[in-house]
Amino acid sequence: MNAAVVIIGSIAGLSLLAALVMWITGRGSKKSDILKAIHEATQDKGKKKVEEITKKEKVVEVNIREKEKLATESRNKIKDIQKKAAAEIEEVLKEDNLKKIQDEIDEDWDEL
Amino acid sequence: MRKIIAWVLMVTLFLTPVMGCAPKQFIPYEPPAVEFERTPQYEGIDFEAIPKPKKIKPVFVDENFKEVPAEEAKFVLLVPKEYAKVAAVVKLAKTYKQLAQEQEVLINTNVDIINSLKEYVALEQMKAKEYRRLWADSENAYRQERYQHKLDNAINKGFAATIAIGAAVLLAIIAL
Repeated sequence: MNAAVVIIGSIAGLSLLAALVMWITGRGSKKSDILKAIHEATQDKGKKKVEEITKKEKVVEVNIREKEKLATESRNKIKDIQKKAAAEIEEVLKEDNLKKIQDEIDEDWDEL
Repeated sequence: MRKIIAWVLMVTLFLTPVMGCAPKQFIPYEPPAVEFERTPQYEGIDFEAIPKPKKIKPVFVDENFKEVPAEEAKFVLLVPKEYAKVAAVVKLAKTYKQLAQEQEVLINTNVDIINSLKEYVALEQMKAKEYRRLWADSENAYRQERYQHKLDNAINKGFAATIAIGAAVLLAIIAL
């Protein structure tokens, strides 16, 4: 009986000791929580920064697309100037009324 | 007693899959896709499409308005058809000026686009740096966690082994 009590007592004592040691040496949840919080804060901060940069990129992208439209408009305008000039020159070359010719010269001269 | 054993088994069976579940999967931020269409080459001005008048054929006259060779001429006369060529040349000059001005606008617009693209590249680089920093942070956190996990396991195993050996020794001493 005594031997059984000693064995059970010893096992219980050792188990308690084991639990105590593991509790002391084991990593506390606080440390883990702090590391997690730091990691999450860093990730959140980074994510916000990336989102801010993406917003700035969006502004630049819109700017580029607007400029591309302007460039296309400019190209078309150049073509229109060519066409208009071709028609006007053809017309003036056919003109034989001196007054009209002089008016044309006067009008265009100021824009030279 | 049987009920207790049955309950313990049920709870164990219920907890095993729950505890064995993998953590929530990390879904990274998906940046919006940006695509720019290729800008076509500038075709240039089709000068052939703009008619050019032929050379002016003036009539050289002296002070009495009699036709003379160019060397002896005091005045120049132009018939309407020839004078129209002067008007055409003036129009041509005006057109070239307009074309030059509009090309300047086009060049500056393209310069603006280039500068905006440079700005975009700089922002992309900033973003890539930030992503790299976040990646490094995650990698370091993972390494730290793994190291701590290994250390915990080693300590736990070490103490468990020590206690088991101690228990065995104690039992042996008691048995003797």
